Amino acid sequence: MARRGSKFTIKEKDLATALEISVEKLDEVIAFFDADPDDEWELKEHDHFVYSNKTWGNRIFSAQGAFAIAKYLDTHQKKSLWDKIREFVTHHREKIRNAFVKTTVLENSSSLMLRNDRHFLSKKDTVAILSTSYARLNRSFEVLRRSEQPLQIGVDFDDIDGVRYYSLNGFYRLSQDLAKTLKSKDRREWCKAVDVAGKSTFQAIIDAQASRQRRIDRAKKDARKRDKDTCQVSSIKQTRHNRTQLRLAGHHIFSSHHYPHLAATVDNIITLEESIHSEFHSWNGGSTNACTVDDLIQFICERYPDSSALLRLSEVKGIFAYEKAPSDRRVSEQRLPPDQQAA
Amino acid sequence: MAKRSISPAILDRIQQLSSSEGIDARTLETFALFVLNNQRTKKPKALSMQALKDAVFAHFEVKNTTALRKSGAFKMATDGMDTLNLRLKTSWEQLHRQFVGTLPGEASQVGDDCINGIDIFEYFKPWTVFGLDAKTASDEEIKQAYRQLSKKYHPDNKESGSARIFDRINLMYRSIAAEA
Repeated sequence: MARRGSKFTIKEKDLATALEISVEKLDEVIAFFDADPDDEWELKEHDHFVYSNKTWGNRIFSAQGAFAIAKYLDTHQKKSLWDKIREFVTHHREKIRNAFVKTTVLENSSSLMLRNDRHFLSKKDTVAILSTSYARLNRSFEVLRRSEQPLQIGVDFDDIDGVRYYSLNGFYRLSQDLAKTLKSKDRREWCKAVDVAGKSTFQAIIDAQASRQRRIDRAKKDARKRDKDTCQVSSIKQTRHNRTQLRLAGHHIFSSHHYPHLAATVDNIITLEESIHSEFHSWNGGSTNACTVDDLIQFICERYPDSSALLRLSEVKGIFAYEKAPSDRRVSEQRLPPDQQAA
Repeated sequence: MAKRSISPAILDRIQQLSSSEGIDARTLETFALFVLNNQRTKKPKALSMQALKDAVFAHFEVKNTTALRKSGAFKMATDGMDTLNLRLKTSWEQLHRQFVGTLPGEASQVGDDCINGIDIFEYFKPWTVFGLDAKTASDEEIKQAYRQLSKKYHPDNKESGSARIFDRINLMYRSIAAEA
């Protein structure tokens, strides 16, 4: 696909297979092309082919080069190859385009999130995957808004923390509109390919996310077993008598969002009462704010100085001593200023 | 619907009633026409399972159910929808409503959940529900239509209020009033 790179993508071997001849026979044909510069048959370097290895004469062909050779063979053979080579080139282009689509989806899916059982993707990623502009995507949205069946808020699109997200169905509807209305054929085909190849890639990402979540859940369960169903700060054990009042939570000592590589590590999870867990995150400036073992130690020193969890946490600090402090964290109003903190 | 004419038998009866009861014959004729034009007509035949499937296959450009299940576009379009049991006709009807269009016999529905002939829980057609032209309606007209409907269906309205209809109208309004 010219848009995303070189137009020379067809290897000699693949071309020979498509033309139903051996590579040796293909060499003979090429030699004929090269033999007489004055005849009508011509293969031009940088137009029909490029050399991948000039010493050995290895070439990579463009679609035009493949067509030129097929045309020559057609005039010299009884059996027509024209339809076959056309199908081969179309399919070849499709394969390359799909590979590019997959790469683009993989590179631009960091915002993919589950909300109300639907997967949502940020507008920024949507624009990047559809290889379009914000203005053009806005126009498509407007077309759909004014259609018989507009996009539905909460289902096809949503605004999350002030950022526009599209669900996979919303994304599909937008890509369908772009695939029909874009002026350039190349860009229309790209949007069409996103429909075909995009979902399998999204599915792979979704499966990876689900598998990660399963591993995290398992690690939380194991941590709870290790902690004997007991809150490590208050030392209160969950029993069958108090289980309705005392809810336990698996707390990521190093926050899972900022330290994703530690999210499924049992050593990074500590069992806490749900109320203490909420209290800690509120103290730390919200559940989305980064936290580390040092934060939990400081919290316990301030709010639960009698807790026996400090020994456990100093061990954890040793295990994850190489972890760097997060760079993007918000300041919490609840935390004591440094001059009032215990030494 | 084509305007119906009053049969001679009904016209005779109108004359009888007019003279015996002292009611204006023109009034009775108008009423008779109203009844004829609004009486229930035969429901259009529902689509067969195969016809439903064919329409959905055509929309997703596939040939059969196996290909549909594998289709990237189908997977993407149905992400988050309740699990579809493709052995059931109701699932195909649901797909038809969402992706192909209105099912025969559901073009002008009547019932508690219907506004302007649309069952608002089966179809997401805010423009029809709001009685507006999707292509030309201005922001002010959208707001006005929303206000009228929300007044009627607001849960505080003891006569016609309904929380679920009100929520649905609200969702429709937010969808068509949203900016890109």
